[in-house]
Amino acid sequence: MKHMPQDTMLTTDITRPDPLLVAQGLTVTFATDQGPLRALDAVDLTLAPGETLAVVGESGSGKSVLSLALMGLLPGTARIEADSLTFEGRDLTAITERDFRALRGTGMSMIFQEPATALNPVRRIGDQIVEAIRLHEDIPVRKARTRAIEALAATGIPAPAERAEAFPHQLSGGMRQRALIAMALVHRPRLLIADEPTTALDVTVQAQILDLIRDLARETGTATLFITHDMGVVAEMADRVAVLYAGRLVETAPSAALFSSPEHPYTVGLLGSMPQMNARGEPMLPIQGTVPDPRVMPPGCHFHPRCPFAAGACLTDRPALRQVRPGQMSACHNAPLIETLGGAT
Amino acid sequence: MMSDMSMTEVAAGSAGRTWRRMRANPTMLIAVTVLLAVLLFALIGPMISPYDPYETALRMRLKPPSAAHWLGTDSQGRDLATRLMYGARTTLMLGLAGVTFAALVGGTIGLLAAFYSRLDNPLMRLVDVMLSFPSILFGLSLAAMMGPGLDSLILAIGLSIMPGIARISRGAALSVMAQDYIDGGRVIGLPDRTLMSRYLLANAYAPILTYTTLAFGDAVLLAAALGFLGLGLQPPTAELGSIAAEGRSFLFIAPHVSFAASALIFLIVLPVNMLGDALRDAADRRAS
Amino acid sequence: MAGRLAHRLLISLFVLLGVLLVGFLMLQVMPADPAAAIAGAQGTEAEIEAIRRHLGLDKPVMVQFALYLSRVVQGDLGQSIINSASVFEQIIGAAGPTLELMCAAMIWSLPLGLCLGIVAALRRGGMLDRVVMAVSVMGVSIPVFWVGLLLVQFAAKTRAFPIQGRAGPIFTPDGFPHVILPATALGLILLGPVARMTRTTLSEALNADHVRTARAKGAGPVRVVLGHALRTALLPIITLVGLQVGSLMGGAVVTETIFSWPGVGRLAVNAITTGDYPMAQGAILFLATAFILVNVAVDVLSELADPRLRGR
Repeated sequence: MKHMPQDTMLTTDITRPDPLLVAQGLTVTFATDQGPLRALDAVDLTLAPGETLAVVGESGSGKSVLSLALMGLLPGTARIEADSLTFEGRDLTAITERDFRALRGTGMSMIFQEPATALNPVRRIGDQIVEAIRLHEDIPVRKARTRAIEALAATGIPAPAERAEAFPHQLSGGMRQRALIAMALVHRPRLLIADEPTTALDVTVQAQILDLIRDLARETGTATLFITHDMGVVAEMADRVAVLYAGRLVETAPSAALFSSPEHPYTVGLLGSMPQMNARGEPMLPIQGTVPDPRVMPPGCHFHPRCPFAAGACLTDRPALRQVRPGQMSACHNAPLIETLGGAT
Repeated sequence: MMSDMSMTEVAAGSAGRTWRRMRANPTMLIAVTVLLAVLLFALIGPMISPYDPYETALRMRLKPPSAAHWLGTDSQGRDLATRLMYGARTTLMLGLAGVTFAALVGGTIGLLAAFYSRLDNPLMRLVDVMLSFPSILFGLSLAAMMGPGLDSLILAIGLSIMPGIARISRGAALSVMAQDYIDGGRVIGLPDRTLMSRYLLANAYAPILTYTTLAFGDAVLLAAALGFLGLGLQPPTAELGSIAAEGRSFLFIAPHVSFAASALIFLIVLPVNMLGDALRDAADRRAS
Repeated sequence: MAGRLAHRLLISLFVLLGVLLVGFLMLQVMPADPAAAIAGAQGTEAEIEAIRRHLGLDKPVMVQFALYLSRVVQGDLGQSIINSASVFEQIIGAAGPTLELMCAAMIWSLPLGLCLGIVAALRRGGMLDRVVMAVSVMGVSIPVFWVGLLLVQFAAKTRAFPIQGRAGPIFTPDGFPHVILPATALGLILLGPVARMTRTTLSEALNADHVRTARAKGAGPVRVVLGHALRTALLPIITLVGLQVGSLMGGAVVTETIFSWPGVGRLAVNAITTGDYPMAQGAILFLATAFILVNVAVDVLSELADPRLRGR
C-alpha cells in the first residue's frame, strides 16, 4: 500500500476493502463431438469480502458452469479463458492444481443442489466431515471428530454426535444439506458458492436453510455466491444480483435497484414469473420461448427472439454491458427501459 | 439392473441408424466384413470344395498344407479346409437354431408376462433364476439326460439364452402396452391373440431381434465348448468344437488342426461381440 | 433387509429343489436298470430285488423322489456304474482341486481386471481405454479351449511348466507349477468382464455428485478415485463379479478337461461321455448347488457391506 501510485490511491474507495474475487472476460468453452460449445461468454464479476452476490438465470444459462469454473472443478473437456480471474489477488488461471486443491475447502467452498447425492452414500456423515478437516489440517482424528460435531451443532442439527455416526440415507433432506453446509464451512472459507442449495428441499425447510446460510456466512465473514433461478431467494439473500442469459451477463445491480427498476427485459421477465410481484399490478411480461441452443445462437442480442422490445440494432448488434445508473449495468440497447416503456404507451 | 437398461436401449436402436453409424465407425466396418467373409466361407465353401468332408484316406493323414490341400489334412486324411467349411456351417446352424429356439420361447414368455400382468411375477421369477444359471450346467444336464447330440445341444443353447430374451421382450412389450392403440384395440373388441401378434409383437420385435442377434456369439461359444468336450455333435460330423478336440490328440505333430478350428470360432464370435459393444457404446452416449 | 434376504433365500431354496429334480430325472432316464447296474454282472435275481427295494424303485415316482431327497441330504449320491465307487466320496475328492483352480484363476485376474477397468475409466475415450476394451472383447470372444491349447503348445515347446494333472496342493512347491497354466487360461475368462464392469461402474461413480463434493473439499486425485469413487463402485462390481461365477464354472469344466485337472468338471464330463449316470448326476448336483450357495453368499455379503441396505 505504501508504494501505491498517487492516482490509484485516489480512485480506490477506502471504505471498500480489496475485492475477494475478480473475474474479467471469463469464458468457458466445452469441446464436444459437434464442435466447441461456449457455455460462458466474457463474464465480468467482482465479489467483496462478506458480500452476497446472487447469480440468476434459467437452466442452461451457464450459472452452474460459472460456479464450477470458479472452483476449478470443470471436466477436462472444458477450456477456461479470462482476461483476469483472481481470488484474494491470486491468479486462478495460472495456479497449480496442487495449490488450487489447498484452496478448495479452505479459501473457497461449495454446497450443491442435491444433498441426497452430494454426500458419499457409503460413509458416515462424521467421517466425511473429519476427512474435510484433515485434508487441510494435520490434526489427530479424535480432535477432528470433536470439531466435526461442533460444526454439525452450529448448523442446528439436533443430537449432532449421533448424527455424525449416521449414514446419509438415514437423514432427511434438510439435515443432509445442514451437514453439507457444516462440511463446507468447517475451515471458515472466505467464499462460499451455493449452487441452488434449496431447490431440492421441501418448501418448509428452504427458509430454514437460507437463514442458516446467511447467519453462518455473516458470523464467519464469508462471502457468498448464490446461484439460483428463484427471484424470491434473491430478494431474501442477496446484496447484489448478476443476471446470466445464454452464457452472458445481461444485468448486474444492487438487489434493491434490481427489484424496483430492472433494466433488462429478461430481468423484467424473470420478475414477472414471480407470482407475488404480479399481485402488485405491475405489467406482467412472461418470457416467451426457451433459452437458445448454444450451438445456434441468434445474431445480435441473444435475447432478441424472446424480447418484446426487440427492434433495429437488437437483431444485428451485440449490446455491451453499460452503466445505466450508479451500480447498475445492463446489456440492453433499450436501457433505461423506463424511456422505452414510456415511449411505447 | 444397469446392464439390462443399456441393453434395452441398444436393442431399441433402429436398423437405419445402426447402418449409418456403422459406416462412420471403422471398427464396425471391420467386424461386418469379417463376419461376411466367415459366412461366405461356411455357406459357399461346401459348394465349391472338391473334397468330401467325411471320406477318410488313411494314407493321407496329417499332411502339411500343399497346393491340393491348402490347409493340409486331418488325422483321418480328410481335407482340413473342407472339414472347416462344413464345420463352420454346422456351428453357425447350431447357433442359429439355438437363438431361434430361444427367441421363440423367450419372446413368448416376455410378451405373455407383459400382456397378462398376473403372469408377470411368476414368469419373471423363473426367468431371473435361469438368467444367472451357468450355461455349462444346462449343457451338462441335458447331455446327461438326453445323451449328447443335436437335441440336447440346441435345447441347452436355447435355455441359456432364453432368459435374456424374455427380459428384453417383456421390457419392449411393456413400453408398447403403455401406448393408446392397445387400449384402442381392446375397445374395438380384438381378441387377445390378435392384440399380441398384430399389435404387441409387431411393435416390439425390433429390440428382441437385435438382442437375439447379439446373443448369437454366446450361442456359438457354448456350442463349440460342448462340442469340444464331446457333449455336442458326435464324430464324424464336422463341427468346429469337435474338430478342435480331434486336433488336440495331434497337437504336437499337427497343431494347425486345432488352431484353425479354434480361430474360426473366434472369428465368428468376435465380430458379433464387437457389434454389440459398439451398439452399447452408442446407447451410453445417447443416454448421457 | 431381512425381508429381502429371506425372499432371496426362499427363491434359492426353490432353485435347489429344481436342481434336485433334474438330478432325480437324470437317474430316471438311465437306460439300464439301476439295481442291476449296482448289483453288477454277478448279481443274483434276489440281490437285484433287494437293491430295488432298498432304492424304493418299486414305489410310486413321488415317493421315489422323496427317498432320493432324503438320500441326497444324507450325502448318499449313489455309486458309480463304472467302478462302483461312492459318488459322494469321488466328488468330495474332486471339489478341492476345482476350488483351488478357481481361486488360483481369480487371484490374478480379479485384481488385474480391476486395475485395467480403473485405468480405462480414468482415460475414458483415450488410447489406453480403447486397448483395454479391445482386449476385453477379445477375451470374451475367444473359446477357452483355444487359450488352453495354445498354452499347452507353448509350455511343451519351452518345457517351462507342467501341462498335465495336479501334483498336490497348489501352495506346495510341487503343486504350484501345475496350476499355473490352467489358472492362466481360466482367469482370462474373468479378465474382460471384470475390466468392463469396473470401467462402466467407476466412470459412473466418477461423475457422481458426492465425488464432486469430495473434490470441492480439496481432496486429491488418488483419494477421489480410490477413497470415494471406487469405494462406492466396488459394491456393484462385487455383485456383478458374483454373477460371473457361472461363466467361471463353465470355463473350469473345459480347463480341467484340457489340463487333466482332477476336478468336478472333468468328473462330470467323463461321467456323461461314459454313461455313468449316478456320477454325472452327483457332479452336476454339486456344481449347481455350489453355484447357488456362492450367489447366496454374494447376496448376503453385499447386503452387509452396503450401509444403505444394512440400515433398513
